[in-house]
This record gives sequence, C-alpha cells and structure tokens, in this order.
Amino acid sequence: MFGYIKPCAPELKVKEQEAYRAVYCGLCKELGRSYGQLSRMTLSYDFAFLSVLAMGVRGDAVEFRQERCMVHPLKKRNICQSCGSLELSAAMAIILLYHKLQDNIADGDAAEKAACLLALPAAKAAYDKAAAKLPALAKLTEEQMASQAALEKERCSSVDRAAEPTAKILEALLGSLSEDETQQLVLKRIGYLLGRCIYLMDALDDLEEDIKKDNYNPFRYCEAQEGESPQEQAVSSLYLTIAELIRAYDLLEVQYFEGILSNVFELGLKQSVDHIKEKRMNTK
Amino acid sequence: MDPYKVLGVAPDATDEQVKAAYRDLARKYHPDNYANNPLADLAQEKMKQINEAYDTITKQRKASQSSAGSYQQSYGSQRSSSTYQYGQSYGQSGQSSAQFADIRRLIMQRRIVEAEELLDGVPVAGRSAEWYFLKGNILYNKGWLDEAYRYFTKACQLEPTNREYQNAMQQIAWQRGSGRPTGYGYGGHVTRSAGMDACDVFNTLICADCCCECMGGDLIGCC
Repeated sequence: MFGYIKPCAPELKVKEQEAYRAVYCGLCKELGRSYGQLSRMTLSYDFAFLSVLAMGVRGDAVEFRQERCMVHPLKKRNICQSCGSLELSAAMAIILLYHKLQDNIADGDAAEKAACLLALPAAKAAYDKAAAKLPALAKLTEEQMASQAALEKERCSSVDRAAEPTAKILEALLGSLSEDETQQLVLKRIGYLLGRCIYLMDALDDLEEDIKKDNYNPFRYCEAQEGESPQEQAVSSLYLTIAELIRAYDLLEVQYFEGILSNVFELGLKQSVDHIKEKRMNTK
Repeated sequence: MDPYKVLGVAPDATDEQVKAAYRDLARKYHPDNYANNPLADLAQEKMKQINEAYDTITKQRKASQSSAGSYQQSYGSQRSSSTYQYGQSYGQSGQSSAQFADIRRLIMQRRIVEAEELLDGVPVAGRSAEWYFLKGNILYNKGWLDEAYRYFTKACQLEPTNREYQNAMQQIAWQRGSGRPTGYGYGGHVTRSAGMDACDVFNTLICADCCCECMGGDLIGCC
C-alpha cells in the first residue's frame, strides 16, 4: 500500500499524536523483529493505521514503553509493545510487499526490475513466514492479485471492477478483526470501501504518468460522467467513496483510539485526496 | 445503557445541549441516509437507541422538575408520518410494481447475488425506471458506487417525478461533490472542486437550510 491512509495531523490532540507515533514505531520494530531489519523499509502509514484500527476494534491490551531505537538513537521514545494487532499488520504488509515486487518485476522498467529482483529472495522468505501466519488472507491476496493483473491486461473500463481486487482483500482483512456478526458486517463494508479508496487514490496519483507511458489506469478507459475530465471523475469517485466510508464508520463500535480513527475517516482521507489533486495540478 | 452516554453528553448538560446532541445524532443516523445501504438495519437500531435515550432523559428531567420546561417528543415519533417511516415502508411502498416485488424483498434480506441474477434476467424491453433504480441499488450494496450513480441517474431520467429515485441519486451527487455524507452538520465550510450545476446548487441550499434550522434560523421558508 502507499501511505495515503493517515490522520490530519494538526487536528490530532497531542496525546493522540503521541499514541499514533508510538504505534508507528511499534510496527517498525515488529517488522524488524519478525521479518528482518530490511523489512522495516516497507513501513507505511497505511499499516500504522491498520494497527490502530485493529487495536481499537479488538480492544487489545496495548502497552507502551520508553525505549530507544536505531533510527532515533539519542532519545528514548514511547513505543507500542508487540501485540496481535501489530503482528497482523506486519504480516499483511509483508504479503502485499511481496506481490508488489512481483508486479514490478512483471511491468516495471529495467532499473525497477533489477532492484526488485535483488530484493525478491529476502522478500520471499519473509512472505513464507507471513503467509504461514495468515494462510487464508495470503491465498485470497494471491487470487485477487491475479484478477487484478487480468483485468489490467484487458484494459478494463469499469472503475468499480478495477478497484474490486484491492477492495476484496481489505474486506477480508478487516472482517477478520471481529467475531461479532454485526460488527463484522460494518468492518467488511469499511474494508471494501477502504481498499477501493486506496486503489483509486493510487490511480489518481499515477494518472498523468500512466497516460504518458501508455500504462493501464482505470480513469483512462472509463466512461466519463458528462462534462467531467478523467481527473475530476477520479476526485468525484473518491469523494463518494469517502462519504460512504464515514457513513459505515459511524456504525462501528470502537474501544480505543476513537479520536485518531475519526480523524482519519472524517478528515485524513479527504485531505489525502486533496493533496494528490493539488500536487497534480501544480505540476501541469 | 446510560442514555447520556448514548447521546454523548455529560449528565449535567443543559436541556439545550441534550437537545442539540440529540438532533445531530438523529440527523446523522436518519434512515433516509441509510436507504439502500447494506447497513440500514444497524442504523435503524442505532436510531432507536438514540430516540429511547432522548425520551428517557426528557422524561427523567420532566419528572424531577415537573413545573419547568415542556416535554419534547423525539425526532422519530414527531416525524413518523413522513421521513422516518421511509426506511421501514420501503419495499412494499406503492411505488413498487408487482413485477419487482420479489427482487425488492431479496434486496431487503441482503441476498444481493440472487437479486442481481433475477434482475439481469429481465429482458431489455422490460427495463423500466424501477429496473434501473433496483440495479443501482444492488450495485450500491456491492460498493460499485460509480455504476450505481449511473443507474440511479438513468432511473431519474426515465421517471423524473419519483421521489425514491430522486433521493438515491441526489444523495450520491451530493457526496461526489462534497466528500461528506448527507446528514452531517457542515457549518458553512463547504468547499468544492468543480463548478456547480443546478442539482448541486439545490443540494447546497437544502443543506444550508438544514444547518440554519439546526441553529434555530431558517433559510428556505417552506421547508
């Protein structure tokens, strides 16, 4: 994933900011401990958010401790200690990383290909370990990535269908966070829409480059709404998805971190879309 | 459950604060906002809790200071003749033709795959405005939001006077433009990326009107 799912920082309370950062550091350490130091490079906001969501929904007994870490060696910081939610996020990050590498090897330019091939053996070892922890999710991810590749090859013109594989992966992932049937329903809807959102944000971010390089992008091929440019169409699609996400989130029962989670859903997501939009408009 | 927790206010909140909190929540979880939504049942349950909490608090307060203040009925029961019923009566409303009654039932039961199969089996010649609406409904349930919008729009074009189709279409149109769900307080900070068409202007006005009413004023006199 790509780091689009993050809070709107100025609107966080100081204690929320601190907790969020401690979870981020905790995930980084978890990756290093379970999958080797190199895997810490894959750390992204998306998985920090996933950890916060998992902890908030499951009500894990979360423990923070003052520790040093090699990235910031001078000062001790609050760091979230290992727990089920961090393990889940780290394993899922590794599973998706492995597929991303394979994807780049198949489609990327020469330099990208070489770099990914170099990283592949280590990634494969980490992947096997992560897949053993989450066998069902690993299998589903593999299937969905295959459908993603197939629909890109046929230059799928439906934005909804193009976003479905990522949506399905996150639907299953978030669905696994609760045993309760009703909460599962809410989590699955949130997961589906969140996956869709991530995929579409990435598509909006890459739109110009994809047009230049003649790569697949769903907004290149879709039937536009009257009077909308592909970019406007992308922003409208994303806004709609975010609004529906907020609606689903309103029905989620959360035990911890409500402030951070509300911030992400109600402010952070839209902020990410607006950032991409502005960035792309300025480079024109 | 503690009614004050449900409304998210402190037990020593003033009557006005309780009422404001209640109004915000009722607007948010109103069944109209969750019409067609796979989570409609949950929202209805939530609305019920909110109504009960508000009724409990107002009754308690009335009993303890029986001379002062007038008893306020909850939003849902006040408006039961119009919008609140919408979510429940939906499915056997008069707008539904007999042909699609079983498909509506399947959608209500969240049996989306079966509903879609049945609907797709309708020959092209028999595809009325309601067919497009129901197709949009199924797509919306699946999270195929872009295509849902297209089908709702088509249903409105075929039958422009139908309220049910209009509501579905306008809700999506509003959200595409604003990135916020309908039923939220906006406080006038509505920023927009593209130009506005008549529909957007209408939506924004209605919304501004809701905001004003929320604050005790009014923008559009008739509603």
